[in-house]
Amino acid sequence: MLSALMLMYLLQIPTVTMLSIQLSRHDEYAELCGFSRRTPDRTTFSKFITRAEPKTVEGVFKELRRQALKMGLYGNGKVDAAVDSTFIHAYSRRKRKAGVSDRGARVGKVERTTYALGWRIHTIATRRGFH
Amino acid sequence: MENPHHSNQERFPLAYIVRSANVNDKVPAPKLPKYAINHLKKAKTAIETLIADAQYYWEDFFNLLEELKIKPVIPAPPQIKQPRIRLKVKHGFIVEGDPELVKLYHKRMMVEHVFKPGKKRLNLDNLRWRGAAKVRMHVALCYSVILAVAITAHKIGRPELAHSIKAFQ
Repeated sequence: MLSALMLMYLLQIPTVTMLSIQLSRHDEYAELCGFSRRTPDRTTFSKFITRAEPKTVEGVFKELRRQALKMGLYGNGKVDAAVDSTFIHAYSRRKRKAGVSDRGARVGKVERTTYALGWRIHTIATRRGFH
Repeated sequence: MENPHHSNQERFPLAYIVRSANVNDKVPAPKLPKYAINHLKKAKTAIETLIADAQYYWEDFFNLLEELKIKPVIPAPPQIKQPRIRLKVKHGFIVEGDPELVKLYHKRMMVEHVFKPGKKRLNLDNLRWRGAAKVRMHVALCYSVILAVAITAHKIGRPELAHSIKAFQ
């Protein structure tokens, strides 16, 4: 199920409904994600996303980061790191009569003079050189 | 069009924090170097310099970086008369100050190069889920794909494709 969700991001499939359709149409995608006979319905993906805790999905990132560290992709010895944040738009609209549907999102700066409802991802990245 | 061979430097997300858009950068910023140090310690790696833009310029952050033995490369905002380090960014992104610091400051783009493929190639800015927990999952999946692509590129013996998501799409 997690590999199917990763495939959804890699192939830029916008929704789980589309993902479910793609999996049923393309046997190679289904096989790649470990589905042998029937592919999951969109509701199964929705239930999985609702029931799964962030820790489960973040565990995939942690495992891949562990592997990348082991392979030395983050560099060896002393490295440079950079910190920054980026804005992502919430799946919700401002100024609706019923209020916003994403209650955790807040209005923040997108660019210098633009404001929108959304989230901010604060990231630290390191780099290594290879020649 | 993305050129898969343009990169001779590898940069990957090491840690992240998701907050509402109205939360100031100063709130989650001190946690990030601490997380990074903990993860890098396992690989016997340490952070030498931390590069950030002017919004991360404040005394407590500098003191924290000193404590962690990290050299800060953070330009002072224009209103600061006596900056802690000789580095300033003028109008039009002109960087002035100590030449060594200026050179280091230009490496700040490494984190922007993490956001760019995420937004351009992995639907990072096309959120279809609601709530903090699901947004965390969304970011984790995006960054996982970035790392999975890099690991695969190295395993198949094509390290130059480590940043080319398009090559695997």
